[in-house]
Amino acid sequence: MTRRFSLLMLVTSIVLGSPTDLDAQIRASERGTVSQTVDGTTITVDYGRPQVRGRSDLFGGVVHWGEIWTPGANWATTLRVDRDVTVEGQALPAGTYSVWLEVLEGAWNAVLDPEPRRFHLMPPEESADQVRFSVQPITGDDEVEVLTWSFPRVKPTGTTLQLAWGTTVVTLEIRVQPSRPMTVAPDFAARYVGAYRLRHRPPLGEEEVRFDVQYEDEHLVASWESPPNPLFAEVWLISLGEGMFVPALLQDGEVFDLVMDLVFEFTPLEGESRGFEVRALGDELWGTATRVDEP
Amino acid sequence: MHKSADQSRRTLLAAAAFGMLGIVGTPRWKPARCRHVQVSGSHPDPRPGVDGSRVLTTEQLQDVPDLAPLYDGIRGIPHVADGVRCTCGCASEEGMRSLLSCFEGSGMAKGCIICQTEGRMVVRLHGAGRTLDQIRAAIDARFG
Repeated sequence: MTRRFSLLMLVTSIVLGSPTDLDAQIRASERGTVSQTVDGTTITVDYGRPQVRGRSDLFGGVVHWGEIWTPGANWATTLRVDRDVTVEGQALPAGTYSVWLEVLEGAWNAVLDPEPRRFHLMPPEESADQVRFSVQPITGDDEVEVLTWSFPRVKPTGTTLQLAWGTTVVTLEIRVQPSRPMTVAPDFAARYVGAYRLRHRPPLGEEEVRFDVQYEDEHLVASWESPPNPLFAEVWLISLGEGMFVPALLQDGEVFDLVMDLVFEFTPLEGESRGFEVRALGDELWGTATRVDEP
Repeated sequence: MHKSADQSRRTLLAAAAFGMLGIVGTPRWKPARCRHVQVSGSHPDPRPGVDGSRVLTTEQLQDVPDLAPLYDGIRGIPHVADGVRCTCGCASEEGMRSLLSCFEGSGMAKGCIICQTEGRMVVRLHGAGRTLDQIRAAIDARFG
């Protein structure tokens, strides 16, 4: 009996892959890594990649209903975030977590466990330091042969992390902390709100145009008449401090780019603004603005 | 007809101007070590009695004559440039202690747009009467 058990364990170890990491080894489920940076926060998933191999009963079959499954193979799938984020609305401190899914016939329960180094046969016990939330698997349009984690959507404020295997798809919405505040307080905004005449300088041209700064929904919104690029016709001004702002380009009311190489330097540093300079890379002066309304 | 020509000119200018913004990531002439890095910690203290005698001269900048005024500006305020850190990633290299270092020796600022931007800001803000602390704060805001 003991000898038969030992043989069974040996075969199981060979088939499933030994917990010992070996670099040069053919594996049924090769390891893969995918990473995405969003506004300075890097999100990385490291996981084994099982294949469908003709099996039609992945969930409810290969993975039993009620099983606590790491969405990968062999060593648990890990999720690493180098800054605090939220996942499906749950706060997730910076760190590396093993990823587990309780696979059910309806919604699944996701568990992010602070111990990243776990073998797939050893799911964690429930504990207070885990992050738990519910996810709803859906049926995708395509059959995905190799289990795949990806980031199909990336926005300035976050990303969608997606698991796909067979026809099953699970998505997790991750939001990052903005590296710079997009909103400003009313009393701070009041120093800059006003009408300005902006004289372009080469290479922008040499004409004088209107440049209005307004305060809308906690944002400093700048309207640039005849901007050198239509994307700059209406931008948010994002404060760097010390009277400096960079333009945030907008699409459908959301920021999609901060142009860090074009700086609006308002003067004076204290009190109501009287004007500003437009400075480009190399500190080149691309425009000078004077306030034309009464502060 | 005139309007069309004007629009073409504007389009060309816009492309040129905003193309310049686009080169920030991979300008071909920029040394590999010169890229903006987020630097933590404080600015260096200016060395007592530091002077600008090692800042490259116009004769040493014949390959980049347009930069001579910037180097002259830095040479005139070594006590300020030596109190500002450089954010181009060079700070960990031997002999590089402050922004002043970037304009001395091999004159690495010749090929580094980050050093040039910082240098011009420091010269300009000092000329506008800003104190060293105010200049440091502006550099931190711009490059922090």
